[in-house]
Amino acid sequence: MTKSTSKWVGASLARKQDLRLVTGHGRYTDDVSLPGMLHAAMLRCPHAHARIKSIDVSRARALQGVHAVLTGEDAKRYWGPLPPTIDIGMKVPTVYALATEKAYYMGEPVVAVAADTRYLAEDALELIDIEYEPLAAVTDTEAALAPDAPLLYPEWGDNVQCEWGMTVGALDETFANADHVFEYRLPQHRYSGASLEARAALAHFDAYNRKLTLYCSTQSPNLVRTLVAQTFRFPEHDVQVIAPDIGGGYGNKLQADAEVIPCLLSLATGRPVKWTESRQENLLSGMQCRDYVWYLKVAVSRDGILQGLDAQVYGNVGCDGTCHAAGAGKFLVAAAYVPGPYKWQAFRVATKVAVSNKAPSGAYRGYGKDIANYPLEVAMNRMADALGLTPAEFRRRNFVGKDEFPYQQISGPIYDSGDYAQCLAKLLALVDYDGVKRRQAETQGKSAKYLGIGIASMLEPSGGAVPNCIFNSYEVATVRFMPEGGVLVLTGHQDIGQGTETTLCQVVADELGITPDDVRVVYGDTNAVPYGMGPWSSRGATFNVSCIAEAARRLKTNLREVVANLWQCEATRLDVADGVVVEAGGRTMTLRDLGNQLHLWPGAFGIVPKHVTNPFEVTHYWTSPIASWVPDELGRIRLYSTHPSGSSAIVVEVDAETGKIEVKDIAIVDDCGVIINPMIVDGQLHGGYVQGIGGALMEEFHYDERGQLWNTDLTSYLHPLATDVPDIKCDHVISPSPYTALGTKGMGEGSTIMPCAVMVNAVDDALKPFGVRVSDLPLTPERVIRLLETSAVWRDMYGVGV
Amino acid sequence: MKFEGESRLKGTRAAVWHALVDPAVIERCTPGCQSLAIMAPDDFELVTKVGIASISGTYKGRMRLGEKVAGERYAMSAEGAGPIGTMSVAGVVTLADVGDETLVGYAFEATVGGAMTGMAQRALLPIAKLLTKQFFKSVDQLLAAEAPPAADEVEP
Repeated sequence: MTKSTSKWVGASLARKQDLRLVTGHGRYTDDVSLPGMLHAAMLRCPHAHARIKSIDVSRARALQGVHAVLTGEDAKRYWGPLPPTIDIGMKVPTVYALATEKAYYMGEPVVAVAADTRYLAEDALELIDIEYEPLAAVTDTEAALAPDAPLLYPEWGDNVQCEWGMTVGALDETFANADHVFEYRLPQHRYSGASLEARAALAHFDAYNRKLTLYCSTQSPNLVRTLVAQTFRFPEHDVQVIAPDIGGGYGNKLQADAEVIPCLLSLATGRPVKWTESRQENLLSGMQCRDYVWYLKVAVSRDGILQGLDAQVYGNVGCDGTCHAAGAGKFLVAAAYVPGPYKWQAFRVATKVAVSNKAPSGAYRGYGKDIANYPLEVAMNRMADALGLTPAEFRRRNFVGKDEFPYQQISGPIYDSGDYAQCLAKLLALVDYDGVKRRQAETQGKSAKYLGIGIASMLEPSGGAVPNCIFNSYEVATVRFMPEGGVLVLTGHQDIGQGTETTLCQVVADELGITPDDVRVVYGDTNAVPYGMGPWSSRGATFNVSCIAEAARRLKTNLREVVANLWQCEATRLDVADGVVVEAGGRTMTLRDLGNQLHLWPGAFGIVPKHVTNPFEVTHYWTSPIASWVPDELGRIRLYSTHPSGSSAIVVEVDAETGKIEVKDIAIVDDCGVIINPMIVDGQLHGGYVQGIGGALMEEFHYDERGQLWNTDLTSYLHPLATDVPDIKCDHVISPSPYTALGTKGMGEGSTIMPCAVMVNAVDDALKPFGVRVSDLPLTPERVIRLLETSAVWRDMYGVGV
Repeated sequence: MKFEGESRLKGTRAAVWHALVDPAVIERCTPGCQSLAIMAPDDFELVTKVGIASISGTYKGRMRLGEKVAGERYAMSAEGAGPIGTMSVAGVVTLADVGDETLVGYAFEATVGGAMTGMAQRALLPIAKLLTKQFFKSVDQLLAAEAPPAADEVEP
């Protein structure tokens, strides 16, 4: 088989969907209306933890135009508990999409209403009388794990949803003999991935066909179909999930949580029911993320070589991280990847995941890789400082070398490829590290504005293949050759803004020797596509691209066999380029001619040789050759298929008078292997990085000690704006993965993984004259001033009567 | 969330006192009050309708008066729940003479829960102050209407 040429892979092709989106022709779930459609609203618990003593819905039911009012108890006629999305040795609570005896967080849906209009449905909520018995609530992670904590699920005996750990190497000996031992406590607060489009679901139970159709803003229509079927014990093949355009999904649209409520109301009324989540509802109960604390102990030799890492992470998944959404798993990923891109001799990690009276926890861009990155990359800078090394030099001494791949990390994963030192070297040049340090020395103390620069390295394990959860291990897709010579790609992957509708066309165009315009990617309809799993874990460029590239290759082989049979020549003499089958030094045939001949004139029977099984389409199954669920002698398993990497830097100016941090420069060097569309990759880097800066500087759910969430609108829960960041510089290192079809690696999460550590390192650097170090995020002006207030130097210079 | 203030009411301290602790007056003067049921002495169940922007809706609650020192002070506590959350208020009301009129001082602490938590500091405080002022103003008007008119006010 001839090697496919790379004509489209690597081109910054304009995105196919942008024309319809920017001209107002996008179609989101809320844009879909069905005849006879009702509208849903949900009454939510105002308490963080409460027993439901009584519910009286009679007045609401009596309201003209109200068609259904269902409590959690009523709903049990239609559904069972939410099925687990993940259960790797976890405690799985029995919980429903509408609270039954107890509500576990403020904002939990308690009663659902379907009415002629959303206004009427909301009005009906006011007519529902509920008597609660408020219970003691717990929100803080470590408080939830304390022996006297109020219990969410008393039958558990504690608030621990899961725990896990491992020890590799002679840990005690390593620490006993170490030249230096450093210890850190590094917490991170709770925030979330905010999509422009919050959740939306339109369910239609068709009693005639006994079929349930769900239009839904989701990253994975197939997974939602399974979860809906399991929730209602409804035949899965009678459920169809359609995902139209998606207004963003950052991991937080990977479950069937409140989405099952419109299904419930449709089953109860026999009418289509739509629910479009308000921003307030989304902040209250859309999946939240982060929220953890690390304790790190690191043994380092006097020449700056990392030796031992002893780490504990305590995660907080709110009321649940298994059924409402799969948040609990991220702390296991964090534990496996906290060793980062560095080499170690001894390692111990323990993770403990707590439930608390906060909203459920799901995935958000990083899914634990961010949690792994944050403490170690902050610690790397602090240790470098203590050792008298630059942050770059300390990292260089400890990186896994570019000639050591495939490299098995001490915690188990096999790193497939990379060149961490080159990423870092390119970064220092891109951001002019030395120049910034010079300017810092020149300007320091001349005004209240303090310049600082932070760097960090990053590992972005991508393409997760996790047992016992919805984040499973394969992809299956179809490439179909049409009578007129065009090609359909049928995939369970979903375009959620990351551009697969375009990049998959580029991949298939190269494999088949056609143009991207000859290809259409069909996605977002479970009844049209194979059971592929959708974008999460940055798996598109590993699983999905490999699967579709292989399918296209096989299809091309089949088509060449057909033409070879027609022309009675060797198939090896044939290739396809620019939509034309070409015999070396001889005949040609357009794919349109071939399609016509295969399907119509004369048709397959006359021209397809017996050994070609299917020249019309190839459905291919792909899984990672290096992921492994078979524990090695130390009990380690390998869940990720590729390991993209990178480095980034932020330059800040911190105003010591006001506490305001101004981001002056951002530079990113990313290694995602072979790049399919450079424009899209850089766009992902830009967007992801700004999103990460949101978490570092402003985004935070303010829960008080009673479990009340204080900021449920976008004037009090802040997001970064374009004006908050400068132009972002990007550069690339390309280390192709040997374990994917095209050498591609994931790249959707890396840029969000880094910014928190980089920002802390930058602010630490800026505030070094004051002798303070960041302990808590986000770094709002107020928090920066609180930090500076602990500095005697600052109090002398700026303090007012402290 | 604390708020305090004072209102000057036309009426003697005794008249004002009797008005403030009278369930009928409370029912008439509480802004948006739809009904007041006496559950026990100084223990009322109220249904009020609030028509202010984002917190509009019908709130059902319980109000209790206590620690009464006739003509001088009393404690008031109220808790209620409505469409967007729960609210409880507790505090002390004091009375003092100012000439023939009475100065009513109040200091309340309010706790909110549910969706209104986030709005509490920014939006609810002014609303709570407004409603409290409205209450005392209504009592004042009621007292003025019931009091024998002063001579100069009857002149055409």
